[in-house]
Order: sequence, then C-alpha cells, then structure tokens
Amino acid sequence: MRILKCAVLLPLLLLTGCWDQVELEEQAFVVVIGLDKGPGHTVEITFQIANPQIGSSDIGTAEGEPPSDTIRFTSSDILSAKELANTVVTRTINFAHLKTMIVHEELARSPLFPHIAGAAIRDPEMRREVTMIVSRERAYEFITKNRPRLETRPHKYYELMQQRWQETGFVPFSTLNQYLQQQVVDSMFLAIYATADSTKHRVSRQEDDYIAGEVPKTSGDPVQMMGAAVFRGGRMIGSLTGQQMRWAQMLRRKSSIDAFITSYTDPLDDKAMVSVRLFRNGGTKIRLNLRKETPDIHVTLPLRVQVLSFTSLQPYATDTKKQQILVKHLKEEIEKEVLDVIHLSQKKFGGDLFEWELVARKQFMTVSAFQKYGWSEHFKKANVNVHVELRIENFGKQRTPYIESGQKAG
Amino acid sequence: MNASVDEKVGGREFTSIFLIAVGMKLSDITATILFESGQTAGWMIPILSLCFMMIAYAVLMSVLKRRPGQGLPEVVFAIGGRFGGSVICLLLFFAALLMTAVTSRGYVDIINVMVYQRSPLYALYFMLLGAAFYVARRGFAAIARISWVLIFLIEGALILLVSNMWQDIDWYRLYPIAGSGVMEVARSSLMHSAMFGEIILATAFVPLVNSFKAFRIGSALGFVVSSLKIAILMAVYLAVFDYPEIIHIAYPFQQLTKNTSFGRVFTHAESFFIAFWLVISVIYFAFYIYLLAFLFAHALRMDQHRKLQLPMAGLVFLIGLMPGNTEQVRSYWESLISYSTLLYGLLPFVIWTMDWIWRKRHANP
Repeated sequence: MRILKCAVLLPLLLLTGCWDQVELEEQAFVVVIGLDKGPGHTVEITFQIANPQIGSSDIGTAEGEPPSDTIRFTSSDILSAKELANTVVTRTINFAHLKTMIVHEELARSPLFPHIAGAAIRDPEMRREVTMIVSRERAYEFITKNRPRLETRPHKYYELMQQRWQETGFVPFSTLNQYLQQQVVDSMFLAIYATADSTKHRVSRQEDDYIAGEVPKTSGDPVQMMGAAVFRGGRMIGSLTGQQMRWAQMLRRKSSIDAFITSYTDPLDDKAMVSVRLFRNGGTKIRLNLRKETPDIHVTLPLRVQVLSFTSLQPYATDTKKQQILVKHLKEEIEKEVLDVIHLSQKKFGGDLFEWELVARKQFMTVSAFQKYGWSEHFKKANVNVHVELRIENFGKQRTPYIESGQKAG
Repeated sequence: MNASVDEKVGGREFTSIFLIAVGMKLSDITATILFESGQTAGWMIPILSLCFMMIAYAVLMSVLKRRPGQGLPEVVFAIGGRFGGSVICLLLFFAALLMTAVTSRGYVDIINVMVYQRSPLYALYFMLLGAAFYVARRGFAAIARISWVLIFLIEGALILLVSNMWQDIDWYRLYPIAGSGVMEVARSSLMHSAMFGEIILATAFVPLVNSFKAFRIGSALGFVVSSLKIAILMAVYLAVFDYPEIIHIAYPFQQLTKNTSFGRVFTHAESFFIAFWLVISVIYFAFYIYLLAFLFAHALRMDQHRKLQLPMAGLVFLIGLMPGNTEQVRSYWESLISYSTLLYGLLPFVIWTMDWIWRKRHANP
C-alpha cells in the first residue's frame, strides 16, 4: 500500500517541469510599456525591457550591456504584441514587474483607447496598480528620450518618481485601477501629464502654473511631469496645470497629497512673493443640497500654513496687524484659485473632477435613483461656494527680517 | 494510522470546519454574483441569507433536539421509513454533489485563470481533488483537527490583507446604501440563501460531535461568524473597487490580493495569499467529499462510507468538467443555488411535519 502511494505521489514532483514552469533566467521583464496610435485600428506598442544584470553583483558578465532595451511593434492589442516580441527578444516577455504605462495623448483622446486598456487588463500578469502617464509626444519618443542621469535602471526611476509625486502634488497619483473605476462613473479621472520635449517653456511668477513642457528648465533629463490629463468616460478631454491639479486633489475627500509648497503675491508689496507650505488640516468637508434643481454645494477647506519666505521682507512674524492682512489675502487668493478650478470643471469639462459623486451618492437610497438623477448634469449647474479655513502655523526659523532690524539699528 | 477515523470531534474543531468551509465563499464567484443582483448593497446579502436559512435551521433543530445522538439521516429514516429516508437523503446528496462539482470547477477556473494559465484544466482539477481526497480519507476528525490548526493563520492572513488595503478603502463607495432597492435585496437574499445550505447538511454530522450542545453552538457560531466575514470582505471589495467596476472583476478576492504589497520590496503579495488559499480549498473539498460519501452511504444504508470517497471524488471530477467555460459555471451555479434554496428551505418543514405525524401516531397507540 505504502509503495503504491509513493508510486502515485513521487511522479508529481516531475510535474513541476510541465505547463506553467517558469525559468527565471529565461524571463524578460517589461518595466515600461508605451502605447501609440498605429495605422487603422492598431496600436504601436513599445516595451522597455529591464536588464536585471545591471545594478546587481552579476554586472561583470554583462559589461557593455545597456540597462534596458526598447523595442516597438505594431499590433492589434497589448497581449498579442507580447508574443510578437519574441521574434526579436530571446527571453519570454513577462509583465509581472510592469509598473508604468505611457500613453500618447493622441491615442488617449481617440475612442480606441478604452478598448485597448480594457482589453489589456484581462491578462493576469497585467496589474491594476500600473501607473498611467499621458505623454504629449509619441510614447516611443518619450521612452527613448528619457535617460535619467541619477537612475540607471528604469523601474527605479518610476518607483522613486512615484514617491515624489505624492509629496509635491504637481501630478496626480494615477493607476490603471482608478482609470477603469472612473470610466464607468460620473467622476473624471486624472492621469499624469508628461513630456520629453521641454522647448516650449515659459516663465510664470507662480511655480506651479505650468503644464508639462512649460516648466522653465534648461538642462538635465528632458522628461518633465507636470499637471494632469483629464479623462471622461475613458477618453482624454483636456489638461490641467500643476496648480489646478493640486487644488483638484485637495478638493477630493481622499487625496494622495496632504501638503505642498506654493507662492502668492505679497499683499503689502506687489513685486514680492510669499512662499508658503500648505497642509490639509483634516478632511475637506463637502455639504450638498440636492433638493433644488440647481444644487448648492458648500465646500470647506481647512488649511494650515507654514510661511517659508517672503521677498518683501515685511515683519509679518512680529506684527499681528500685518499678519491679519496676510491671512485675509491668502484666503482670498486661495478661494479664487479653488473657484477657478471648480468653474473650469463645470464649464470646460462638464463634469465632476473632485469625486463629489461619492458624497452625492450618500443622499440616495438606491443605485437606480442615483443614476436617474444624473449627477454630472446637475453638477454642471450647481452653485458652489468655497470657504477656506486658514491658520498660520509658523514663520520659519527667522523671526524678524534683516531690513527691519537694520533700520532700527540705524 | 486509521485509529482516529471514528473519533468524535470537539466543539472548537467542529466550529473551525465551518469557519473554513463556509468562510471560503468570500473568495469565489459568490461575491461577484451577489453584487450583480444587490449592486451597492450586495455585501448585505450574506447576512440576510443566513437569517432566512436560520429559520429553516431552527425548525430542523427542534426535531433533532428530541432525538439526541441522531444525525439527519438517522432521523429521516426513523420518521420517514425506509423509502422516505432514502428519498430525502438522495435529494440532499444530489444537491450537495452538483454544488460540489460546480464550486470545485469554479475554484479550478480561478487557479487556471489567475495563476496557471497554461496548465490544462483537467490536470489542475485532478490535483485539487486528489489532494482533497487524500485529506478526506483521514476521516472527519482529521479534517476537523486540520481546520482547528489552520484557522488562526487563515483569519490572521485575512486581517493582514484587509489592513494592508486600508489605504485604498473608501467607505463612501458603499452608498447608495440600499443598492438595487430593499425588496430586490431581500428577494436576492432569499434566492441565494442556499449558499448557507451546509447548515442543513451539517446536521448529518451530529453523531460525530462530542455532544449535541457542542454541535448546536459550533454550527451556529461557525455560520454566523462566516456570514459576517463574507459580508465584511464583500464590503471591502466594494470600498476598494467601487460599483459598477466590481461586477466587471471576475474574482475580487484574488484581485485584492494582487493589489496588495508589503512595502516597496515585496510587491507581489498575492503569492503569499494564494498559498493559504490553496491549502484551505483542499480542506474545503475534503469536507465535501467526506460529506458526499457519508450522505450516499446513509441513503443506501451502507456501513462503509469511507470506501465511497474515491468514487465520489471521481464523480465530482467528471461532473465538474462538463461546463464549457467559466461563464457557464456561473450560470449553472446561479440556477443550482435557486433550486437548492427551495430544497434546503422547505425540507426542514417537511421533516418537522413528518415528525409531528409520527409523534401523533406513536403518542396514543
């Protein structure tokens, strides 16, 4: 009996060599995928394949090999390109470590894109946590031009960039999961907007009032990520500047950013700027009154401010009157900027950028009642008023500015 | 080796069997199907379903209470005679057989779609049932003891999964609270209450448990906790994926494990969870194979139910391979659930009436 059992069980060990066996040495890990519009109903797919030997102790055997290889195919969808890639690449293409998807703006705006993205997600190797970036030029150009100096390995570059996005809030933290989720609801999806072509730069007094390509930067890696691509129903319909993007994030109940540094004109000196770090002081409160045909929306945005620098060198820290002027000024400026974004959302995009749909859902009993109400139609007409609660927390590590103390001495 | 076969099991081991066998439903096709009919209120359905099933269970227990030490088959043979007993046992057996075949096929589909895409279905199926048969062969006490050993690890893994996803959870996605409407949710709960049909089948195991009290507490506790567990996990799926996206996802549990990561280094946490999941699915089907053999043997009044386990595993394998694809499995599951609801819901009342007639007849001879 025991021998019989062994006879049945032992051959199972040999099965490990069958069907889904994976040989680590024979894998090619795609870390970045680029999508461009191809002729007809095809897409041009770019794979950036990492070379795992770079950056490991095995580098000796891979001397002279580049950190990654980029190949491009034209195919009907992503998954068929995966096998097609093996006409060139010696190893099995594997998406298990795919972190980033770069989509050309033209494709993102075309009606084909929801189909491409929706079809790709069927592959279990394709993770929903893939970051989505919309590039202003062709994705292939974006990938080949992107040669970060400090990070040799491409996956590390995007991994670290992702951390920075969450700190600065210049771009949204956008994943394929959110894209698919917001394709079927009334909210709009925000994706990272980027470009590798920085020739169009202009100079603004406010450091976040740019979209990708406009950042005044003259040296370094050509890639810049700034602002957001706005998607509605799975298709791109417009873009937001970094500033609008930050407020859109702050107006959401749950945002990926909690603090950022920005600057405003000085209330006491037109030529000077005040730089502040804004913190979200608790959640943004949204009150809706949906009984009327034109709904009322009250937004309360609680903020904490750290004043970092002011070029006017006014004695804000010690003069309470001037402080009040500053607080009032900041409040007005912020309310203006916030309202601008809300109006942009209502008028230009004709939909809800702020996921307030979730708040509205709370007031309905059934899904069908909510769908009948038509949130985005009502949102377009809504009266929105914004109230910013602002508190200055500190003025940095210097108390009095130099000019003032100098004058006193003289 | 087989000394433990007829050993009775204690209350906590018995409870953990149900915590596993019923709790398992949170990870299969049940969740998506419930969201389809309940929409944003889909997560409430397990709780309501159990409430409906509990009524039938209470009726059945009132009969079993009078006959301590006897399980469902013994009771129906006593009150229904040889013919009535056989018919009821066979009915239960067929319901359980089809359910096992369809669910196990669903599990193999999950393994096939999410993990081993190039392996043939029959090979995966064969290995799953082979392992389940191997466990079932050890006897009921062995299944119970394995469940007890693993239960804390499994619940721990679930808690780990949910706490890991906490960042992505937005409870506002549970609104509108009534989903597809109060009546629709209640109707759907009633229709799907057979997903807790095991609570009726479990009464066959009364003689295998230490005491009737242990059985009663164990089964009730196991089912209530499991239904809460399923409801909470379903609420988490909804809060992470949102409606209507949730009904587009074939296997929400597996998708959830794919979305988790332990820090930046361990990004593919699903392999950790899939290991747990495979182990408990083996226990789950071991329980079912044991149950099938047990019921069938009783229906035909055979003593040697353990010898039937291999044919039962084979039968499940053959029936399970019949549906053509994953969507057919879903529709078979749906119709099976509604028919078995009828069976599990009405049978206790039939048994109660039979018992009432039997008592009348025997009260005044």
